[in-house]
Amino acid sequence: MQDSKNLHLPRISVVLGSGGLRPIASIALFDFLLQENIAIDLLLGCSGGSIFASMYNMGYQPDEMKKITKEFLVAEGFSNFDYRALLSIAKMPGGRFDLSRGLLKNDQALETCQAVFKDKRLEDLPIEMKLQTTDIQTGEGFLLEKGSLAEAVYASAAMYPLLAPIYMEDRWLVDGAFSEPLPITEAIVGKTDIIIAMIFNEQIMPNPRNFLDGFYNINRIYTEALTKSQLAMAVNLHHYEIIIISPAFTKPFSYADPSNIDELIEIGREAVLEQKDEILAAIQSYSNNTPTN
Amino acid sequence: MEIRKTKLNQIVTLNLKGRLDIHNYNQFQQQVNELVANQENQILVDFSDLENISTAGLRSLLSAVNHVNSRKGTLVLCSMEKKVKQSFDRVGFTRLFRIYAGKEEALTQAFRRA
Repeated sequence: MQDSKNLHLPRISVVLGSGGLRPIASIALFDFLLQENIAIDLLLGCSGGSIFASMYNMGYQPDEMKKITKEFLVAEGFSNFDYRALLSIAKMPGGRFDLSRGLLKNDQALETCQAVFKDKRLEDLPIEMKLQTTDIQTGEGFLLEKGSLAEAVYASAAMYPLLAPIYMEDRWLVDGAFSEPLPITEAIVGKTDIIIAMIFNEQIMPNPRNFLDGFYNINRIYTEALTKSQLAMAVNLHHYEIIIISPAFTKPFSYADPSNIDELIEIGREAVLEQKDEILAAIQSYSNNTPTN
Repeated sequence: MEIRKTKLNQIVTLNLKGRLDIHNYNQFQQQVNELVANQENQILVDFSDLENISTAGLRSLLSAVNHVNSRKGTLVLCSMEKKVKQSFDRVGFTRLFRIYAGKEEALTQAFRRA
């Protein structure tokens, strides 16, 4: 599509929101953009969205992204408890708390990020990319745009207090979902014309089976509320079109079950299919109606 | 998009047909601006024939309702299809508007209170 001559091309951003491993559904969006030869000018990610935005920006093809996710993220899981941190909750002897700790040690998750993202740096990636994090000491949202990609992805997805914060850019950083689960404001600040925003909200479980379910429910509630507020503001501020892709996750998906991956991608594919014409029409309309310089 | 205008008892109904998006949001805004300039600021926007609305369309509605409110008028919406309603819900716009299930309900409730 962007090879056509005499077209004034829009600046396009893709914003991937948070959502655990559900953002793997974004593979369907990347598939579509590749098929249509639609180039991305700015990539923004938060939490799980950062993982897949980064994989795409590393040059992994959708099939490879799927394979990597199965091999690393799902197979390794998160089970490396920091027993001193756990003991500190119960005020037991040997327990220890400080700002650098989470309930899980970060070694395993960081190693996984390093295995996937190697020694790449954010500032060296082919597509301009920013990853949303939260400064745990000030509560402010903080966008990482330089530094180790592996560490940035970890920071963006570090769901405190399960995962430990990481020190970057003179800050202790955790999951961006606590401040901006959909970093769409940056797409406006970054002067993009067409914003493709993919959100991965999930229905809450009305009858949680345990405290962890309850914890995830709370995450779902505030994430959806924050996302709507951010979208409302973005719609009001933006000068052109925002295309929102919202896969319908009608049941909770386990983080640890690799068999979910294909189903998640398929749900993403249906959602992309629904908005496909909107994306193409917005690009066409921009190209037809904007005078070339 | 087509806009059909009717007026009954000082209430102007704008029936939108087709889709409201970047191509035609100006047309809608201009229509509302003209109404307000003519002191016709009791407005019902009927969505029963609207197939789809983009974010540019949503933005124009917000701008229109703010404009009407600033002139002490009333602008309400009615008869949204599921797809259009979802577009409002998704961006948290449902709470920014008074939305009625049907036209009769809007005419009897919204403007009686206004």
